[in-house]
Amino acid sequence: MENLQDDLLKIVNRFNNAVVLYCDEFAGMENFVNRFKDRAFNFSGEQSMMMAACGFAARGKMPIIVCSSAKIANAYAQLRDGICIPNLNVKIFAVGDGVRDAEVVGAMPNIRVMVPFGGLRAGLARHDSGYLYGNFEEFGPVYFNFSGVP
Amino acid sequence: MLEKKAAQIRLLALESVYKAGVGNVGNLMSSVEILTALYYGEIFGRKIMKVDPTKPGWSGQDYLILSKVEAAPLQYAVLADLGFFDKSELAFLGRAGSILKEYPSGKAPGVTGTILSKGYGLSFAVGLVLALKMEKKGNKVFVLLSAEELRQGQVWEAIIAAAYHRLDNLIVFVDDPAVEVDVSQPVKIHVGQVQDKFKVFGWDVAQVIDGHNFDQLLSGLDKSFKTVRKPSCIWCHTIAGKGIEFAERKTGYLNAILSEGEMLEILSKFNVSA
Repeated sequence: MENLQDDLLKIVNRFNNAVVLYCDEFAGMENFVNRFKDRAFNFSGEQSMMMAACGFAARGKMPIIVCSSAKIANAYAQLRDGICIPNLNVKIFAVGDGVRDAEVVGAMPNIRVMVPFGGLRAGLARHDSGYLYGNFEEFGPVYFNFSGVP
Repeated sequence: MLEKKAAQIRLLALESVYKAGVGNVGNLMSSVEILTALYYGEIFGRKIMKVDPTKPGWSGQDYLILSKVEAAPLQYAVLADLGFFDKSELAFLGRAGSILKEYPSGKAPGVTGTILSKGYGLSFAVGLVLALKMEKKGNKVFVLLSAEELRQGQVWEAIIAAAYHRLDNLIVFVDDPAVEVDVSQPVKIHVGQVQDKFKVFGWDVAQVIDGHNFDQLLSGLDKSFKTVRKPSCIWCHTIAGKGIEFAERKTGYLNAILSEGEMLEILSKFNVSA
């Protein structure tokens, strides 16, 4: 979890319009939340969090949803109808082992699915090649599957 | 003046759903006065909603999010009347290639957010208000919610989140249309006295006994504008199919459109040639 927080800090420092949305269960985010109180938002449920991300995007923000894959699976309808079909600039960090989530999300329109080998840290280490930051610079929804992190 | 405007909007919306061939006349007509009060109403000479037809994406504008997706033709009728787009566009509602869809489409000028299904709008508005708070902007965000949607869990997640984040520039209209009980229709689960539950979650609640009376609607809005550190809910008791005598309170017209004969009757009532 520490690795993920460090990397989120890097991303939020680099992109001024980035905001982080998380669910109650994500209690391991204290360090990040304390540092960026005005840019990290807690939500009571994953379905409302998905649609709230669309609200942020309507104001030109780049919401980064940090949530477990299993919880995101509860909100696939919102992901498809709210984010993928209108093609909004929302990035999703799905942490933990999901059940074939890359395939299911990959079938939705407009969204790109990334499965960085070795998790986010490995992706950022190769940032010179623009592998991961490129996904943030480009407009559109991206789903990062970090199975095995932490 | 507002009554006259409401009649115009009612007719525009009825014509557009009639031409489209799909629509929910009963559900549509119950919200006419709410939308008219929002877009055209004034409190002490100040416009309630700040919108500018010449600048559709203006950052200083107020927002209306339709969680009640079936009311989309109504919002399109208002926006066309205000001059966001030409009234002739209304004839292509729901057609392939048209900017106006049967649901609120973010591609239509003046509409914020694409809401494809019921119950999504309030969560969308919570995100929008949080983004505005982050920018330290005081733009108001209005939401039109139907009482039916309060059966969905996602709406309650958003209600809790709005109270937790103290979103005082979020104002939610709950449209609670009265319908006659029809024994031939399947019984729907009734949501009961939900107004009190909003209060328990930390919302400010204003009751509007007649959701078709502009004085009551404007006084409810005035009350909610004065609320601080709390989101507000304006609970409007309305009548399904209001303004069409034969469709008022009838469940059969809730999710239907008018036939050709009925449409001609309405047009003659409004003194318009077909």
